[in-house]
Amino acid sequence: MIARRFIPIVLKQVWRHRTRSLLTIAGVTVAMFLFIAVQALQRGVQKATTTSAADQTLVVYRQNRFCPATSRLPEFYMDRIAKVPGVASVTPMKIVVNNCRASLDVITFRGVPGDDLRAISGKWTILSGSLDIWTARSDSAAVGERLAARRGFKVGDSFDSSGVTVSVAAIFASPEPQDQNVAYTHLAFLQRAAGGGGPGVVTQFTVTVDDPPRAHEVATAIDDLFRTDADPTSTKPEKAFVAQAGQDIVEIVGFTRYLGWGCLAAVLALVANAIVLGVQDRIKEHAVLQTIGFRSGLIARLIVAEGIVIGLVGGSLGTLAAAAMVHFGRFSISAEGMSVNVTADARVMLTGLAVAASVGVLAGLVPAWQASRREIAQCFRAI
Amino acid sequence: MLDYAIRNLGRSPTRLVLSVLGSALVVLLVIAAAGFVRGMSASLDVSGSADNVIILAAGSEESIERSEVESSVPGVLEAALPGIRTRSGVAYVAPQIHVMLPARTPSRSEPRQVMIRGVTPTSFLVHAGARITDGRAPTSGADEIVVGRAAGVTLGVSNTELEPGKSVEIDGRPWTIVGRFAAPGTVLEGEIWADLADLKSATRRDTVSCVIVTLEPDEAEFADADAFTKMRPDLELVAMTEADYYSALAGFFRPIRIVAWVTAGLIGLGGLFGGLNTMYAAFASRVRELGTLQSLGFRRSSIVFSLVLEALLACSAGSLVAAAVGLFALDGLAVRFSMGSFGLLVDGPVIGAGLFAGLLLGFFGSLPPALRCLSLPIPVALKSI
Amino acid sequence: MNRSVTLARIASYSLVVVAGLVGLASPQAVFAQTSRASEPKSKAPALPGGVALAAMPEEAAELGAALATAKVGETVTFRARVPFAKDAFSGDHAAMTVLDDTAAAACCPRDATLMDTCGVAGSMKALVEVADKSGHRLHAKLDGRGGLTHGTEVFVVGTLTSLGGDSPAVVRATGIYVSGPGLPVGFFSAAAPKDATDLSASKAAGTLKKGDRVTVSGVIGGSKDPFVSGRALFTLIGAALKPCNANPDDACKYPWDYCCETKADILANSATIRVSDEKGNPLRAHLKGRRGIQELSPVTITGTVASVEKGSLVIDATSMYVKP
Repeated sequence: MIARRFIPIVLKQVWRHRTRSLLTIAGVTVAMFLFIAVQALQRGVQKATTTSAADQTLVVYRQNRFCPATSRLPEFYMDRIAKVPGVASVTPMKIVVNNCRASLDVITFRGVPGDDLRAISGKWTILSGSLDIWTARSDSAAVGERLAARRGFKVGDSFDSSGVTVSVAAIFASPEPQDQNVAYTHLAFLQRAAGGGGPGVVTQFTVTVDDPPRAHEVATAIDDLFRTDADPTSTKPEKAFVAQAGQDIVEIVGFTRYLGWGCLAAVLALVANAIVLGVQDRIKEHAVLQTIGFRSGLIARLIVAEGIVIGLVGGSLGTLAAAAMVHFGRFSISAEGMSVNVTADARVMLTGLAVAASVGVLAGLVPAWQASRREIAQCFRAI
Repeated sequence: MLDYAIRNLGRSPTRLVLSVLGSALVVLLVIAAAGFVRGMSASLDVSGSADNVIILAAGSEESIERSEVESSVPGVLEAALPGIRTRSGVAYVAPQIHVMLPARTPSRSEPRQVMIRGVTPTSFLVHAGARITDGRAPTSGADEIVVGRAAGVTLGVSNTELEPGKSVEIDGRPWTIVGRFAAPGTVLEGEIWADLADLKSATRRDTVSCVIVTLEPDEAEFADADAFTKMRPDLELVAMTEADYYSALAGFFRPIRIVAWVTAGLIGLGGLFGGLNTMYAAFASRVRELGTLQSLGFRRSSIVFSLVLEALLACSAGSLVAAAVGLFALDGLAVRFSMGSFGLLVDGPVIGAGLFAGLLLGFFGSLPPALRCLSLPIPVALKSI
Repeated sequence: MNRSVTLARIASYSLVVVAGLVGLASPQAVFAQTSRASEPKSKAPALPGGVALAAMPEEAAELGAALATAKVGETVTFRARVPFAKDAFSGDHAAMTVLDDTAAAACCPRDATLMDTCGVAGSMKALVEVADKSGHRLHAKLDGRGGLTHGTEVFVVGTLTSLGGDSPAVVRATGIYVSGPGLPVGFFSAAAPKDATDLSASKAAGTLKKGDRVTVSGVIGGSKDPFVSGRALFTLIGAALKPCNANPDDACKYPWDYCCETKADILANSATIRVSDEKGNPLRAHLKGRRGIQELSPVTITGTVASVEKGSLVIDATSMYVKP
């Protein structure tokens, strides 16, 4: 775009009007902070709800129910599900949530049989405590790192929610989005402590299939098995289930997209304003540069480069600040026992930087074009 | 200096329009955020009556939907709890089921989660603000429902689709709308109410979610209901006032309200930086003029006052535009949120907050640039381009 | 031109002033919570001198015990009772005589008729007066104000101005809490009953029925809040269950809620203790803090079984012994 030797000129132009540049950068930082926060939210929704061909987890839920308190399936369904061709494993699960509505501070318990936790925890990293402690006590809980960080839980602490009191036996990190924000307890303990049907009743079955491309067939087969039963089921891939159960969250996050667009418009306006003011101040200067041999095209590119610098600096600061807030804040929106984790991964950050640079280019295009079209004599006559 | 400020506003109509529109946008966002927060809080505050006590299952205090209370409890309560309000021999004891179910009208292919409340006629007694406005209350054995005035927002359909006589599919079976009810300012308006027995049958349960009783203030207090629950530990019940329940629910949504405020604050901050930039440029182009004024004898403080007043006038005008838009376009706007709906509340305090934000924007957006421009010595100012 | 400038001036100043005034008032309003002002339940005239306390002082000792250790000039907090005597209230000043609860039994005729006077030793008696800032007794009667009447249980916070001999101690009150009729006279017994059984054992026997006289021991607990605020009622747990803090590795915040036990076990080992009126309703009196009782306090209750229903045992207590 421009030769490296011209970069100092661009930087000097930006630094020349320090106050203006700093104010513009500050405004871009704030706008990009909001934009990245929105992107992180959208990324979290995408990760939690977008199915892929490799997904091999199905959720068997009570038909027409989404709040865990309303989904009650007999535990004996497990044996029948296990016999469906294509089913690799079945885990009964009772889910207890302190509130089904969407909010940022929800506590979700997942009760599973002790043996099944070993299978579920295969991809976990135990950050503190141990699963042996979990196994030894009936009222123990293995807490996901996001939930533990949000509530300040440590191994050995007791906490209660939804009428259930548990003791923290382990804190873990998991690559699965739904695991990070829940507390795993013993199934029998949760059935006894939380009521809601009592022993022999679970909220859902988590099924793994041995051939992911056939997951849809397996799901249909499971639903056909219980279609005429007293408690018919609805089986979906886990992420599709999250998308439907977490409809509230998906809607809220969808609405924030407009906020994201608004932030981009604000960045564009701020950078364009700064560039326009800068160009207006340097009309004569540009004429001098043209007189000494700078082509109009180069001058135009220098102006665009200024826009990129302001955009990138503000964008980087805003992106870093947002990423830090998301990383240390460990925010999650939960609803109906499902969570969407706000995630500012490398993809989000790079998108932010690319967008900031692009907006910088866009903001500088019109002033650059105008500046390149001015006649030298006309410029010298300008005040 | 006021004349000077007013005349200067008219010097660059484009800049004036941009300043007014810019400040109007920021103030409108503040009003929207404040209206959202106020609306949510107010609807939850008003939804709970201080005289009503909710008896529900122990451990379900945060969410009635999880609660299961034996169907015999209303009778036990009526016999054992003194001081329950009675009119014409009818005790204000209302057993209810609260359940979230997917519901849809024929025009929608995808159902939406909505709060369905199973009620008896006494529910219209304990919820004194709820009134049937069209049609009648549902009768038992007929799969009939009444819909709240804002249920259309919750379901994502127009109110014409929810008129008496129309049908709503709930949990895969059709229910006939026989009436509409209003419960102004409360979250009840976003709900659908069905007959208790029919809903029990449809959801295959033999328990209720809660029993709501209205106590006569001179005869009984919340402590009496609390005492009742402690005298029957076999029933595993707790008592809480309706006001406390909705207050706790409001607390549950507090993080959402904080996010709304933080977002509005950040947008305001961004607007401030943009405004500062514009003001710096605007005042910088008038450095010579300001130097001239000083050399004529005008004090710096007067000139600063005039410059700030210019900005305040533009921002005040923008704020009033935003206030008008907020009042006429946003007030009462129904917002669907997390299985319910409420209306944005743009009232005096919210308008005031917006105007205050506008004035802050004008003041802090102009003071630093004004001081900066006037910090130059007069000879330097007079020689500037 | 001048008129238009003047109009513009007026409009501009008004704009800024209105926006500023409304805006300055807004922050408090926006963040203000909607609150419901609760109507005061009592319609009786208030106590004079602003001495009415909103809540029962929890560190109150019995009058006799408080006077035994206090010195003149010190602040005392005690519980006492207004006797059924015609001279209990001063006719023209804000003053009343109060007795230690155990002594008050001698001045509480069954038919609640007023005696002429109450002959009780000075160490168990106090004259409570309400004075103005200069120390003069207020010219206002106390009888009938703030719920005060003969037989009322009162809690007094004040300065001991004189003590000793046969004359009653004199206390200048800075705070008076009226508990209404309060607990029955002599409710708290000084000595442990000899025939007490553990509550768990009594319930396990399965023979309790309505009307049985019982004397049971246990500790106060069974839920996060075993007391009922404003009512003479609490839940008691027998010795068969250990509170959660008895487990060395249990870190329960509320060990008295026995959350480490099942609900069925808690039901099988608990009873609801109430002090009721003639209709069987719990008295409007706050129990927590009296004689220092709180969660996990060991107590012995003597009373009558009011009901046994599906494992829920309710005992109407006639006396209570609090283990020191």
